Amino acid sequence: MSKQQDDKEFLQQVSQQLDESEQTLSAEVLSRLRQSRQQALEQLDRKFYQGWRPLGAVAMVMSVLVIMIGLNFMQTDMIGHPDKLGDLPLLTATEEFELYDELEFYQWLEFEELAG
Amino acid sequence: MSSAGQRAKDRSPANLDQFLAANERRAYRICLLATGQQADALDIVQDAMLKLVRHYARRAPAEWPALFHRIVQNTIKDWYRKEKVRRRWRSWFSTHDDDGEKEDGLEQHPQSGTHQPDELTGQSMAMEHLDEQIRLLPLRQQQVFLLRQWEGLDVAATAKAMGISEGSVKTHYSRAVHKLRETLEEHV
Repeated sequence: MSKQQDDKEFLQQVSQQLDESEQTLSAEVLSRLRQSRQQALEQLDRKFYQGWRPLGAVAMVMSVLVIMIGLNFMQTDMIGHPDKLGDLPLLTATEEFELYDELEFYQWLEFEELAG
Repeated sequence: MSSAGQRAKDRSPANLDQFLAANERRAYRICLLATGQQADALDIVQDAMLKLVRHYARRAPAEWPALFHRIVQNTIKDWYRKEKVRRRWRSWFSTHDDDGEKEDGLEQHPQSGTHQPDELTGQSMAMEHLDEQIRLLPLRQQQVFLLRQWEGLDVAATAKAMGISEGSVKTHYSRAVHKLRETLEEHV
């Protein structure tokens, strides 16, 4: 038999024995391997949620910005027009606008009449 | 189904689980032969699985075997380096100069491990002897032999997995076969 063929046969036997050894692992080892695999695969779920984390953070920052800008806008508006609702009777009034234009004159007239 | 959909299905956790389940036993045996310690071998396999899932789960499944081999080999190398440092510290602190260990690297014999009693039950004497002889090979020879002969990797794939040249793979493999033939011929 040639050396090459000899080697081939020997190596086949070694591989066969190694294959067999793979099948005779203890229950403890098999259990640990299964646990390790599950632990590794759990990372995939965590990774999925971690993947969404930056997006969540951006959304949160955007919401805070919108709220802050909104509050700031409302505050400025309030300072500019402290009594926004006070204009409502004026806008809904049926009287002539001249009355309002000369309101100060009527107030003065009333004051004069009272004083007189 | 579209090709993108098919690719996504191929990379599903179920497929990855299947891949790991099909390879974990052999990976464990390879690590056990390298370390000689059940706990260390299990740690290396766990580490390799974690790394594969963490970094390469989205790669094409066809790439997983090569990546897994590479990770296992790198983790074995890391273990070996740490073990070497640990041994050095132990020898410094030990009261007696035990065995005059060589200051060697991966080309030399790995530390011969202890058998776990339950691990040997059901194993034939021949298998035990084969384990012992493979374990006694220098780490690189041992790993080249296992990858080439047992995992069926070709020279290029073995070189890639171990991060060595193809020439080294051929040399280590040939030496390993020669040594094993010398010591095992009558047992196998």
